[in-house]
Amino acid sequence: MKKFFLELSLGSKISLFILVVIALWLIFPALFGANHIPQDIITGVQPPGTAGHLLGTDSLGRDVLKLTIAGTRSALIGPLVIATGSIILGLLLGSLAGWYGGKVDWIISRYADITLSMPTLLLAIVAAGIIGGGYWVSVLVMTILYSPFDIRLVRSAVIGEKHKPYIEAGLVLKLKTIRILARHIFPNIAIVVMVNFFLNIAYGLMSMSSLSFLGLGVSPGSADWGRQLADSRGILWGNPAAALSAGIAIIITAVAINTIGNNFVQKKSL
Amino acid sequence: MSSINVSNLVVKINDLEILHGVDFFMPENTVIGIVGESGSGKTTFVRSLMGILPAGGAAAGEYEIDGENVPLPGDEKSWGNVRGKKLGLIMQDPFTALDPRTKCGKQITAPLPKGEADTFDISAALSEVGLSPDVANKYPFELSGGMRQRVVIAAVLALNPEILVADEATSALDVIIQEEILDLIVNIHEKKNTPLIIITHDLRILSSRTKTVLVFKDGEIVERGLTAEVISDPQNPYTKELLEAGKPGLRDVRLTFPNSKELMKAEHLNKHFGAQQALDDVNIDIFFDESVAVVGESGSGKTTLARTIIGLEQADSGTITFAKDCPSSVQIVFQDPYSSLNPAMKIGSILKEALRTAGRPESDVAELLEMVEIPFDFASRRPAQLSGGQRQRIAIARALATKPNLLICDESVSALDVIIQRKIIDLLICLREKEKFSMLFISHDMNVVRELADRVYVMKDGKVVEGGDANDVWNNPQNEYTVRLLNARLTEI
Repeated sequence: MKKFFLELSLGSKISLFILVVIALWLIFPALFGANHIPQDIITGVQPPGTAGHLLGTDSLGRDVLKLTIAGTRSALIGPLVIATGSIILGLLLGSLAGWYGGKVDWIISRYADITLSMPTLLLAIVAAGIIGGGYWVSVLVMTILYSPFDIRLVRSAVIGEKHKPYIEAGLVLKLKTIRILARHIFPNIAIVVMVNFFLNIAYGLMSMSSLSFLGLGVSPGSADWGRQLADSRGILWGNPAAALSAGIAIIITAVAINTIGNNFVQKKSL
Repeated sequence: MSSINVSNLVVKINDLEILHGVDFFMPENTVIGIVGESGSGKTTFVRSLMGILPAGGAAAGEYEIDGENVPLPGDEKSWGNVRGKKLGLIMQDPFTALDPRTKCGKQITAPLPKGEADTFDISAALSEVGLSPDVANKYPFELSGGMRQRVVIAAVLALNPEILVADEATSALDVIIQEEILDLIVNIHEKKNTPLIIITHDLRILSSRTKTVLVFKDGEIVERGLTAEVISDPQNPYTKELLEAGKPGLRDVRLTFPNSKELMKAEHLNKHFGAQQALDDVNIDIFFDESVAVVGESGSGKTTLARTIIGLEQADSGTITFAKDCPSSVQIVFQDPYSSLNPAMKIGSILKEALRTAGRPESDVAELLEMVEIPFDFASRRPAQLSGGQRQRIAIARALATKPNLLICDESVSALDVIIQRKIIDLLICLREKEKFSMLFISHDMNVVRELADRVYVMKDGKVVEGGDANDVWNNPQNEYTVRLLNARLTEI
């Protein structure tokens, strides 16, 4: 483990550190005093460096640093659920399509084509308009719309693997299909799937933040990076840190996730 | 007229020393053979002479062509005069050596300077390598492996190299084609007086063609001398082992006891892949305890036959029946030891899985490993930590875990070095005596077949052209194709 860490590039070390900090924000916001953020509308916007408020306060008088830390949960839980959900759908449908081929493949691939042709954000906005919006509706819509990428990826990886002699040896041993898929194919296509998992988290973070920015994700007033970015536009001169801290948090997290994902792949594929 | 003089050549790849000070002298107008197993450093040697070492490779030492010093490691500019012009390299794999999207004529003139390319006589170049002029307008995929290798040779000759190097130039080809290509290369040497270096893992192809031979092992030359002397009186123990392994065994005593009970009968098998008929009314049968071989070149349908019998392919028509009182338990050992084991699983798990399907206890792993002579602690290793021969032993153990009635070996030793090949063949012979299974052995190599088979079927273009007792087919082949196949490989050392 120590050796593994030492062999990481500088960029990966920094990324790893950032992700550890962000994970702490996500799991234990109370550690940073971000579980309870009092409002102080009367004092209102204060610039960074104000006593007691390192990054100042926003238009509701909330501490920007604490607000950003508290926003981690809402900003990242969604993308994590999206990436996990889409990978489960991808493994399930992709391996069915790749393994059985024929009609099964046709139906699943056309489903993937159709969902792939839909603009993600637009559909999330439409769904919000019809069902009434909300965080989890967006998560559901995006999970479904992200899954065709995973389906196609898993499908082609399964097709690439299934004619290899070690799989045929399994067929000759009359192993159950589920066992061949789970025990023989999945471990060998895990790398490509993991890459997409990391990419999906980063994309999901951007999409969910965009939706919140448009006012469709979380309810007004909630701590959320996208929401914070939108709400703080009006006070860009009063306290630039309010918008910037959310924006920077989004960018840094996305880059760190991609860097670690990339590093993971390079290590694994050696 | 050119000569090569190399002294104390040391090659490192990523700080790992591959060649430990090789001295090599090639006089003018000779043929030198270099022989060694994979990993012996013979290809690294040639690559360092051409300045095409893989990334991270560095060569050091003295290197002269025609008394002219070639700097090592050298830069791109100095190598530009060596590659192609001084040394022409014919590589192993004609299937990847040509650009699939460029016509053959253009590939032959591609290395020439612009002016020369326009006036170059492609037809003459093609006829020199025994191809008709219309090949110039064909794409590589329209040609067979042997024809592609001829195009490669024509492209190498286009630059008029002073010295020709053939690095395993025929290993990827069928036996009959192998002979043709080797003869072509030797003919060119004789006609043009171009010195020739033939690199191979197969001593047999050198015996009649080269005057001198070098034996590589672990990055060193362990023996050098006149080919005839080295073959008749090898000094180095490794050379002896190499020669022993290459000798076709003379097995006159049949292993199996006469058993008239039929295990499997395949009748009128037909199978198409698109327009190509892979199996054309094939009839074969296998008796209990018998070892049957199917011989043929690539494309003869022998592998399709094996896959059909085991159920990995479905025949278009025809029947396969197994003896009533025996469940049709068939297992297979594939050709490529590198892809036939799941890279993500440990050896122990691979074997346990096979044991479970047969309802045997997982503790039998120890017995299986002992059977194929692999130490027990290998159970916790992954395939990547094993050599090719060791992997093939594991594949055999996995197949035998279910105690099959029939074991199919689909070219199971062709990807291995001769000495390893010999050991695997010995293992199979020994296992068959102990475990009493029938065997269907698919191979292109008559020598291997001779040692393992009681009965032989010869296949060509999807048809069985000859079949019968192995000794009969060997001593008195009826079909003209069988004769050619035998002649191509009968060169005994």
